[in-house]
Amino acid sequence: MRAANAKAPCLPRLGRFLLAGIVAVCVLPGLALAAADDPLAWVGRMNQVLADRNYDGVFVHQLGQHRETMRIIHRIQDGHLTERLVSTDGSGREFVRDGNELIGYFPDHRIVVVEKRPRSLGFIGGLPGFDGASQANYDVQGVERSRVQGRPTRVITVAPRDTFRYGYRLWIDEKTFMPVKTQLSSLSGEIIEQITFASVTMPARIEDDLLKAEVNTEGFRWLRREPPTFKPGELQAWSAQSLPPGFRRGAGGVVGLPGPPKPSSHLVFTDGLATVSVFIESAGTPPAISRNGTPRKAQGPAQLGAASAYTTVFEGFRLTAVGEVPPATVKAIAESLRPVAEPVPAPGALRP
Amino acid sequence: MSEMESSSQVSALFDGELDAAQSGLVTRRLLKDPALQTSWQRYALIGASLRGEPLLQRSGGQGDVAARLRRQLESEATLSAPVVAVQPSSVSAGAPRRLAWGAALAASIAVAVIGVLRVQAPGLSEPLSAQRLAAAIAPQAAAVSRQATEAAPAQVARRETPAPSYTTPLDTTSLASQPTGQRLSSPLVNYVVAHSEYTTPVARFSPLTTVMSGNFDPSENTVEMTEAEVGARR
Repeated sequence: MRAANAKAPCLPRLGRFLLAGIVAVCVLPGLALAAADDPLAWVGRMNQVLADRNYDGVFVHQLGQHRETMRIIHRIQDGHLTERLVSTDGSGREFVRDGNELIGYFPDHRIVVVEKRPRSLGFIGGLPGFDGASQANYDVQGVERSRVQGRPTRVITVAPRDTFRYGYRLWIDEKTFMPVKTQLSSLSGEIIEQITFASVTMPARIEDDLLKAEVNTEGFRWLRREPPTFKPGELQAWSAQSLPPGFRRGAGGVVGLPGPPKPSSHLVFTDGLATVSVFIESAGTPPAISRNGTPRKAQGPAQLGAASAYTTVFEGFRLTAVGEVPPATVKAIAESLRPVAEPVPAPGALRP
Repeated sequence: MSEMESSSQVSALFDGELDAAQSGLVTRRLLKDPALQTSWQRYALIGASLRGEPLLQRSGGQGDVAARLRRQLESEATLSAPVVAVQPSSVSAGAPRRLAWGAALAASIAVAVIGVLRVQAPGLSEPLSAQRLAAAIAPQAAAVSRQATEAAPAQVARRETPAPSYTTPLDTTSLASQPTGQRLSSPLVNYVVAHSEYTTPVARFSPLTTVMSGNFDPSENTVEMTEAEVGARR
């Protein structure tokens, strides 16, 4: 066998070298050019950097007329995520994420709140992959060249095809592939939210001290928010009568939720990119007036940052839809849900 | 570069937020583009009028815009009487007049720009851009108007009509009222945080800004931790 292999026809070393040269000269630049013009290739590189690399940056978050400067320090070490987010000119609040534990420091309330999150996710994320369904709802455009803070970037535009969803624009640094600027915008082009990095470094190593909150917690109360326990059979199954175009049931199903006094059903709908969560609980909770005296609206629209919310009540249940979509979309989804007869046998029992 | 971005950059240039290189770039673009020049004039007028500067006595490039706005203001005087605190023809010249004109002009600009930017937000009956702009301009215009009131009490003491519609506080659907506005419902904030685990990654940061800056009670539905639990976290 060894002899046979030795006799197998093969190109002389020089020939192989020349062939490799021809490929390098003729084919690879073409592939590189194609990749340079492919917005999804740029998004892929960005997603990879966000998932794998350390970064330490200062950015300005703008929502309407409100601007706030924050610093984010993000470390991936042996696959473990640790992240610190600091408000540098606003409330002075800090958040430290260590795996799936999130610690919030609220110096304005003199408290620290510790809670477990279902997943270990960084504060800043990329764009998921686009399938046929999502491309039916969005038009991915690019790759325009631009500059942010003097650095060359590629601009990727994900434009909505109708008014039921927002669009996204990303300025991806040509050298680091970091999203140095992102925008959430309406179909008409109105910028709803913007994040612009003023500076960002990508150090190979980030010391532990940089990931510790600087808030002096002496005299602070330490509080824990626990996810509620619930029995799946106690939850009601729901069916969506008519969803906005392009929306379908997404991952998430029915889960417990930390915070409210009673566990809520958490349903998730997606159009392939945008998501809307619907939280369903007994209409008996929460009370009309919260513990701190905040009046609670029983029903109707609300806006929390760039997220739209809409609450409606149906047959003794309060349904609240939340998502980074136009107000009309959360309203349509909240009002489309109806209870079905049988109880939920296990998490994830929503019918499409 | 889109028109909105260009306009945004002109705004940033006007606010002194661009570095030297960007300033040069935007300035060159500004010199070539009449539409951007109009934006610049508008920002200049808004700023100057809010500072109570005597815009209407200026001549040159801003004169046309100012004159046009004044004509519009006069034509709208009967509709926006509360803000148009001073009728030019009935007031003596001087600082109070200029201040009041500044307030009136700012309000007029708000109306004019709202008209231009009347972008209908999907699913809403109110134009969000217009609300934001009005929210940004009207309170300052009102402050200038108060300044004018103090300077010329006789002229405004009788003006007790309600504020014009475009100074109406923003409702709960307005983006501009968040996240520094009224106290937020803690359950709603909890919903938004829980939602952030499922939202599209590029928008994941968005709901968390509510927690970073929002006015709510973060201690709701929590329990005290023991010293042992706090442990190394401290």
